[in-house]
Amino acid sequence: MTARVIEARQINKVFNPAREEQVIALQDIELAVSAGEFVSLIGPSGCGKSTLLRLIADLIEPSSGELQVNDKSPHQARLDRDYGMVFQAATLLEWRSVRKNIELPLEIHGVGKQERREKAQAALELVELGNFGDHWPWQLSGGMQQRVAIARALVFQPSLLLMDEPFGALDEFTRERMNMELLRIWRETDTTILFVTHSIPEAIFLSSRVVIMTPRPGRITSIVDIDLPRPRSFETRALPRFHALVAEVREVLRDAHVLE
Amino acid sequence: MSEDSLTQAYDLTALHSLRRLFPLVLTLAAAVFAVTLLLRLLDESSVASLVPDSTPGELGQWVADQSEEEAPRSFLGQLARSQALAEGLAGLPAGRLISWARASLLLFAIAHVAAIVAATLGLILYRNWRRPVLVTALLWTMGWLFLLPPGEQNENLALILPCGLTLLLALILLQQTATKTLGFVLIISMLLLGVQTAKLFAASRNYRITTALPPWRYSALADLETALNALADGELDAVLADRRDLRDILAPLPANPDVDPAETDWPDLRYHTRLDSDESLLGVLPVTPRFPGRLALATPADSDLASVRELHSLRLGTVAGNFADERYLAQDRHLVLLDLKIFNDINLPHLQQITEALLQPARRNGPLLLLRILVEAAGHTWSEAILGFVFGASLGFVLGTVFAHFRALERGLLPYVVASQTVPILAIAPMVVIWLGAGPLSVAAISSYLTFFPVTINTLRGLRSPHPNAFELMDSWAAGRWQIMWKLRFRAALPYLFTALKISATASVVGAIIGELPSSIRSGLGRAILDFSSDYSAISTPKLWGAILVAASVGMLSFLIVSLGEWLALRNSGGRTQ
Repeated sequence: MTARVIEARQINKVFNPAREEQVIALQDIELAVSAGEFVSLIGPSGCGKSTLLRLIADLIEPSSGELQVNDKSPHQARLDRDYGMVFQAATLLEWRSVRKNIELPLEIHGVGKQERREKAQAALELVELGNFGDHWPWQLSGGMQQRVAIARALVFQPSLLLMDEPFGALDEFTRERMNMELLRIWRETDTTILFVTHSIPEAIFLSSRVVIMTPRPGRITSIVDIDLPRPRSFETRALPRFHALVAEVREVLRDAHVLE
Repeated sequence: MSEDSLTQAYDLTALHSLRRLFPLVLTLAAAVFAVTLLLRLLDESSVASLVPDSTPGELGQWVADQSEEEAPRSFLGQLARSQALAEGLAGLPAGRLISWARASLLLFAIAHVAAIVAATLGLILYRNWRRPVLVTALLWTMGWLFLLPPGEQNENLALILPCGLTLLLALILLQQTATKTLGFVLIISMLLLGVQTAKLFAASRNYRITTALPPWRYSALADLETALNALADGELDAVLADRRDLRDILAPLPANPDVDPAETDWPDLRYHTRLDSDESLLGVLPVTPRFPGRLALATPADSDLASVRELHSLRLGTVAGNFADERYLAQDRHLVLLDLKIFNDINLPHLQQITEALLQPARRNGPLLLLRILVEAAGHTWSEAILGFVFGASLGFVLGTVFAHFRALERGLLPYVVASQTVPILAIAPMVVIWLGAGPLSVAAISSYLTFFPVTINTLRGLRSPHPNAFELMDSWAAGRWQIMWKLRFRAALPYLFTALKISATASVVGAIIGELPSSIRSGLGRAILDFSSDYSAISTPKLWGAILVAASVGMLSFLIVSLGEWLALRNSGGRTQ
């Protein structure tokens, strides 16, 4: 049996507890992710998928429940640099060159200059931006900036990659190309990926499992196994099974009164 | 070829040549002007008065005077002295220096004509050197404005018109390629030209815009007695007369216990001792003529008139031919909409007068040049300003950093920081002098009072400027507080910080000059400005302007130094954050 990367039991998260504007962001979350999986969190705005991601990243703390990342507390996992993060905005520091941006996590971890250079170059080549190290962030297109953000998240070789709607701001064409890129990176690096998205086809195309969440209060309604053949390609989206899965996920969301 | 395409081709050529023709006409006009000036300088008779009055001529005369003295201190004076010694003379004759000035003016004129001719050629041939040559011509044209004496109206017009044309031409041609330096030159030229033009039309008088008001309706009577009788009979509402005449025969209003109304000649009448003598509209726009202090108003005892303004609707009387009639009621009334007193030679001296004032001894036959005194004073003020700037900027940075990290402190203290800037510095300055003693230290403290505020606000803003995701990323990499501070917050705040430092650098000089006044420091610029502004005359205002120019240069120098620091600090950051 493969190792558990994420294990969440009975997680609850309440914002502004015991006050009038109290919001139950997450209720009774049960989720287990094994090493090497590609799991997508999908659901409408306010269903708590980003909150769940931040809980796993130890950027906020759960109100109750038990959460483990790599069999450690999320706090310890954060200190051990077990995961990398990518947001919808690339959030590159504009006063640093692309290479220096990628080196930043290593700089903070106290890695020596020579090693930083080598790892940053390897990460750049992984996202196929090997020649762009000395460019400035504003000289790159949106898709390229997001690739730099992925390289920055992977530069210290974390076992887990947390992605919060990373391609949400990209156009449709760039988005599909980035999907293929991401699958290639996933294959090449053996990273476990937890991926938050709004898009049903995107989630199904990328994932091995899709976790469907519904709002008020945020909870997991259903988990759908994606049995599409790998490696996935341009043709995958044309398969009848792909459309059947899209229909199935839509069905679940409709039953939860989200699509009405 | 069809007829249609032919006409089209013609139209296009016409448009094209029009665009070429306009600058060409302007350049030719400038060239004609330049040649006229050249001819005027070549003509011996007109030069006799023109050259000695010009800036080089006056400088030459002054240098000649200097060289006769024991030890001339100025550079020019020493040059003339050594030249005179080499020729075995006690001093250089003024006539010779003036002929040198004439020669240099001639050379200037020839170079100017050459530049304009070259620019014209460049325009005709469409060469790319026409732009730099045109700029040179422009600078030369502005040089004339500076070098030649302010003359009579027509002469000034002859100078201003072609300069304006050249300027316009340069503006049209250089629109697309205006660099920083070019913009600077253009703006200075426009200012110079604008001032000269304004002075030309104002012709050394004040610049006023007025609208006529209906005149007074009054009757001029034979003598004061007749007038006062008419007033007592109710034929008039008020009588205007000389204050001294009324004082002897009427009781005052408000009542004076020493004067019994029954003992005066007209017990029912009073003269007003207190009257609001300003006639104005909306309390802001003055009406001329103003009520002269020599006049007083006689009314019945029960009158409740309080202001001259109310007089206009009344039936007035006065004594024919006396002061009230001639100097007040008979004058045209105007509503003064605008009354500018800047466009004359005393209030806004010619640039060359300012330069002359700077290059001459501060006092008649005094040992030191005004420029040297001012530069020394500026050095003194600057050292105080630097101390205040360093102290204020450090305080501002520390406050901003503390506020950025502790929201409670920001909530509690920031309102006081903002409030501190609403207190006028002129009110705070004497207190600081009492607390810290009259010396450079309190001047620096006053200067830092102006300096710290922009730095505090911009540091706070800059440290908060990174995107929330950037903070989350730093957290996800388990970065420490110091790492977040230096690698993210401080670096993101740098552009904000430098903006604030640029504001503060100039403000610190202002603060130092203001701080010198209550500290009674005699060696700074504040004192110099105070000295020259206390004396209003054609000799003193150029000196005051000289002091203002020097003070402004100190502020600009501080600004440039901070800008240099900004360039050094941010040059390796992608060129976007600057």
